[in-house]
Amino acid sequence: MDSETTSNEEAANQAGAVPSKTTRNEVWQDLLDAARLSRYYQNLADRHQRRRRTIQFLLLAAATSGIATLQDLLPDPTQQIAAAAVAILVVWDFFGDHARKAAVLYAIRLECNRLESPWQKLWPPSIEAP
Amino acid sequence: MAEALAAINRSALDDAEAIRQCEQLGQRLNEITGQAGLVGVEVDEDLNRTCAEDAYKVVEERNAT
Repeated sequence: MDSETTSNEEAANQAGAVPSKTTRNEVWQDLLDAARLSRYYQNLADRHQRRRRTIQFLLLAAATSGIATLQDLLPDPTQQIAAAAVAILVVWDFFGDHARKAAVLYAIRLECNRLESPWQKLWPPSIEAP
Repeated sequence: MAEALAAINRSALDDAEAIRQCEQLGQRLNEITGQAGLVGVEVDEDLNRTCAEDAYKVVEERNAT
């Protein structure tokens, strides 16, 4: 298979139709970059989405009447700690801006995926990775 | 011979055109990824490394087939 590919490449190179090795390397690196960035931003978007959901869930739990009633039954220091935790969550949610970050990161990932296709078309068939 | 001709036909792009398209795509990619910095997204080097390894395997496999 290797020798067959090489002979094809040689024949194509003689005709001047296949991009040079340097160009192929560049296409390969760029293609790799697009694939890496797509995965990277997907993971980051998922991370921010998880943070947002966790905050929302905890705030929802704290806001329910059942939890509020339960807090009244708890001793004073515990109530203060719970109130402080809720305050921290609200501040984290406000300054973290996880929803917007997740939305932007998902959009970036989509664009990276979209760019992979034209790069894929630039990659000459029957040629091994550099 | 037929396979060689097929390879030639399939690879009609010359160097200059491929490089031009690569540069355009690279520029677009930079513009897109720059948006992440504008919203204050943190950089995670470990995740970046993991994704690079994963992408290498996938792209290599896809281009081999």
